[in-house]
Amino acid sequence: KTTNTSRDGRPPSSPLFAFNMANPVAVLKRNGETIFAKVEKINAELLILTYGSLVAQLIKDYEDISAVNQQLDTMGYNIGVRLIDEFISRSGQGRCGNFKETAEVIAKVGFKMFLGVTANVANWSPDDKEFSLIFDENPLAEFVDLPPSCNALFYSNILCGVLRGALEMVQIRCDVKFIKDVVRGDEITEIRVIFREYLHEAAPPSDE
Amino acid sequence: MANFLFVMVGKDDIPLYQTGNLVLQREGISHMGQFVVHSSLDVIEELLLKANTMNLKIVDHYEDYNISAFVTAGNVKLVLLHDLKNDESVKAFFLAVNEYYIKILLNPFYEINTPITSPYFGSRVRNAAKRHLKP
Repeated sequence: KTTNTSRDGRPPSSPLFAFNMANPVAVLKRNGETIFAKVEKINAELLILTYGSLVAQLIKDYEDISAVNQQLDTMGYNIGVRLIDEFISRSGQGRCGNFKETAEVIAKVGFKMFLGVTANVANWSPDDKEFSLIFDENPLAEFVDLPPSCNALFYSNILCGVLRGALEMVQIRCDVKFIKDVVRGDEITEIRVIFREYLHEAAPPSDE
Repeated sequence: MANFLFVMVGKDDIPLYQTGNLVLQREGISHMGQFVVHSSLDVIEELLLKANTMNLKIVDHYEDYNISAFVTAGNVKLVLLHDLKNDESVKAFFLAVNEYYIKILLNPFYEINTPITSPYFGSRVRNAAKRHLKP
């Protein structure tokens, strides 16, 4: 008899039980690589330069950096609500057993498929409602050198919006935000995902 | 490391970057090195009308010094005031700086034809000078 059982009452005798996941992380990683090999790709520099000029133009237009961060998040949201269908149809990913699996699917399959990089899931909160995605490399910010006037900018904030939008379409409402960013001089790039609630009524997404 | 003065000149003769350990003395005139580089720009532009390569090699002389030039794809002139005999090392230096300049261009926050203030660029150029510009 063990005194600490996992949340669904099963004894945590093996990693699979502790995770209660349909697919362990190694399988997801392999899936991600397989799918990435099959999808159509575009030139990385095209994406980098396009995104870069988008951010630079937003800064010129809005001037206030927090407004730019907000705008990037909104744009990402609009991408995410559409991207999720593409993701599910290409990956054949079924329903996740729990939030931990969702995290690994995002990190190993989702990001691999669309950006060609995987993230590491880490820093789970004690109630398992928050986690961090840690990136070794961020392809969007490859050549970026942030000027001092833009130090409050989260350059890749569009990614937070994408995650928020995509998760909302599978009935999970989360807050997603950058904690650390290499572009700003931190040692790593870290996105925090905070679970808020499961959605039961499928409200149509607003485009504002 | 040899004595040299390296200047990058953009459109409308705007200086984008400068480094070097060479200080030319002239009575009453400070920054003589820049003066010399500036005057060589005319020669460079003339050569550009006929040349179809990026490396223009030695374009001008001043006292004991040579002036070599290299033009990037975007018409930015890399001008080196030096006293080296070795053309190949100057060319290697220019090619290295060109690579670093391209990386600066890829930064979405860099406005084209403005001075380059990135400290990474500065240290990379100086390292390239140490590596290639040996007497």
